Amino acid sequence: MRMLNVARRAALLGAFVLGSCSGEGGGRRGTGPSNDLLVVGYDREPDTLNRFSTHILEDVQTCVIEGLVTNDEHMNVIPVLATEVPTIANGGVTLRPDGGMDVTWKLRPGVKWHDGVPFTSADVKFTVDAINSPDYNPESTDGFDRITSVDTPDSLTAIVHYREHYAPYQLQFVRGTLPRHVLEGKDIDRATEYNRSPLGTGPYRVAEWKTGEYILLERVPNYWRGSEFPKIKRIQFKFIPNTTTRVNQLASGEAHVVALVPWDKYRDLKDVPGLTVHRMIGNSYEHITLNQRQVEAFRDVRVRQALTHAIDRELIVRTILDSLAPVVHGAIQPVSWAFTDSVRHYPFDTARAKTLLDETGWKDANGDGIRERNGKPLAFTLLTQAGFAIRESVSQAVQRQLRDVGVDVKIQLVDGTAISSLWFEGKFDAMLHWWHMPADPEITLFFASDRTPPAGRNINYVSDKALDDLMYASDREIDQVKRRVLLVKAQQRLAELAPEIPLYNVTRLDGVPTSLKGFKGNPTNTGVFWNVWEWEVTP
Amino acid sequence: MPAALRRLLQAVPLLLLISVLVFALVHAAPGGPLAIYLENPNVRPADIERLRRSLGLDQPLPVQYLKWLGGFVTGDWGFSFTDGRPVTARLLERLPATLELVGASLVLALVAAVPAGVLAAVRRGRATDRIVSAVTIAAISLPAFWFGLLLQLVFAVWLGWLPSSGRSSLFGSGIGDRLAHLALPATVLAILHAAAWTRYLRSAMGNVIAQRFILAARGRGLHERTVRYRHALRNALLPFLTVVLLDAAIMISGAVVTESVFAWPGLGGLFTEALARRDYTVLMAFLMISSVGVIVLNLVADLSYRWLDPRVRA
Repeated sequence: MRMLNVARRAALLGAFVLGSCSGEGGGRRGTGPSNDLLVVGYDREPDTLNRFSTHILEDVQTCVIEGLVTNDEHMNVIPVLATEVPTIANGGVTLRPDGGMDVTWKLRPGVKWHDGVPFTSADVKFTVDAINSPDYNPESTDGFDRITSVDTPDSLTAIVHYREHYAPYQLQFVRGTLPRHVLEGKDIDRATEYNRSPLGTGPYRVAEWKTGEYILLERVPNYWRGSEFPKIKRIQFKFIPNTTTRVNQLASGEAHVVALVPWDKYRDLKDVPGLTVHRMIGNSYEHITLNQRQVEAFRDVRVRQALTHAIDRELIVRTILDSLAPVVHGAIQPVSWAFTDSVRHYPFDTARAKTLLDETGWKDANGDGIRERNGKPLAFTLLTQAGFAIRESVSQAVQRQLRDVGVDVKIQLVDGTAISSLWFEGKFDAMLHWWHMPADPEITLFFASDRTPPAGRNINYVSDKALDDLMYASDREIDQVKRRVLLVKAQQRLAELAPEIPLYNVTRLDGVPTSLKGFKGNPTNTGVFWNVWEWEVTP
Repeated sequence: MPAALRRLLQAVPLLLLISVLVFALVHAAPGGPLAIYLENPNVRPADIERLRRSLGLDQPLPVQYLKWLGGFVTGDWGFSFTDGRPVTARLLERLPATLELVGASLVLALVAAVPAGVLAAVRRGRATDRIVSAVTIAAISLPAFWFGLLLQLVFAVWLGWLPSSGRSSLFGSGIGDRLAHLALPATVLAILHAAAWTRYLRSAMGNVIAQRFILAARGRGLHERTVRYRHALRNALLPFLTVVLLDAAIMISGAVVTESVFAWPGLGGLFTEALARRDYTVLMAFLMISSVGVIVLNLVADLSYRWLDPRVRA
């Protein structure tokens, strides 16, 4: 009798808890995507909406603030607020005899900031001056610090003077400009009002930023492309840091768009009705960095080549990545105009790997399965990010495969922030990771002998005169055809040297509603919202 | 209340010691606030140095500590390294969500734990007790992370009854919408604590029931209800209350996992973010507030003894 009583009370309590909360019964909970509201499940809350200060991806900003140019889905640089992309051929770029260069940006007439003030060349000049001023701390001054001055002969022309030839000049203003009439004379680092609700020229403006929860964007009434754009009235960016929760929101219909779905969630989402998982080759590549400074064995090119031959990358991609990302053989990705596949490949070949290692004198003399030389075993620690399931699996596969050719690998998992400082100080043997690669194919930063930390990201500590010469020449070559010739040679030299082991392309998976038209994706850090003005939900 | 004041003053050196420890720990964690910049290839060494200077990170650690301490005691808690806004503003805007979640969990947990604990104690060794024990052991063993995701899958994805995360819908401002969002995170947090509290109350009450004055009360012919609730439960509630209050302090700072899983916009989410970014100023403020919270609630527990137990008052 008493037992029953307890059970009944417990059941009543449970019913109360659930009953008070359930709104509707069964099925998908969220409202579907519409031209009234599109909900984006976003992995983090932005720090600031100032594009020059933030150091996370600028998806929200892209909807509000427009660059003079942007990167399209093929990574081409296309004009937005500029009428065209300046080149030598169209007279927009002049190389000066003193070694410097001048870039003339022609601005689109009739563009206004959201408060109605015209957008002019004075804003371009103000942006350069602000970034180069000691009073403001942008995330990066790269490129801007090579600018000596900006002339504004008229309100729609900005002539940017560089003190040297600078090949990535086209992307100098991809992040847009700062509105002079709002920020002049202000402390931009602490300009909270602008940083939380920036003034732009884009299709949307910030309607509400609810801390810890979401940012709501609403369409602006008189967008310069025409008042019929943008088609979607409101976009909500919901902050959902946990990946599984984000995927659950997509599956339950509470979120409509989730960019960069992890590969191991693809199977959970591919059959969700009304959802399309958009797949696109990305501009980054997962690879194993071999730190030559730390590990003596890595200094022999034959050892590096042997390690590359020893890893069955096709198998890793097929099993762990569900064949969603292709194997790659170099640092420049197939989406880039500078990419070439005519470089040396290292197919999976354990016999070849063993022969190469034998040649270098690393042999298993004591029969323990691990090679040694001068009494030292061929062993290293592979550093990678903790909590990233795919990386953990890949590192285990690599460990197993290298063991088969007599190389002993220990795996070390570390959290993301700690990893950054470890590589910055060069304190690791080998590391499984990818870089966020710039859209411009400048690779000097990663492989030039004088760009080891802190001066760059050459953490392979590779040092090769021929490679240096090719890369630096390409950085100064403004003509894209000639620049490509140099970059092709650089990629070929790089493949010969095998300073790192390229594994696979960081292929993007973006979950979007099937009813969303105009979604094109984007392989670069510009993100998928670059053409949000033409998105439309059609039933 | 001079006793309370004395206890408060005693807490000052303790807090100073904690602040040194916390400061050292936060700075000893590998990587710093600038580590996140290193991933971006456009950020050059000169930029890193410029940012290091502007954040004051180029100064010796003792100097940084003293500056921080001076600011902290005068109410100037500095600016967040993440978004440049005042730390106090960032904490205050997160506080209501956390209080809401912790408050709801506390109520739910108490509503479950007190009857269950009492029941298990008075029916010690019998079927009811064994069922309660089995359920609480299972609940204590649940990882909040996994349990939260499981509830999401069942109630949001499969059944579609409840939202999987967040605190409110975009245009749903009603109380029903708020409760629907609160249900899953509050349940996760409540179950984990209710289980531990049930077991604690069961053993505390068991100890009291075994004592002679209970036998004496029964011997005087008092009704079993009176014996149980006025004599046994009231005595068992004393140590129980201490545990609940201390747990509440930890819940405010420790709902980190639950808040992250459910994208709950409270202090726990801010802490996770600040930890990943090594946002020193936010981390320091958060950890100091947590320490103060534990000390203050400890004090409240002590003082409430005096109120609940006449013997301590003497």
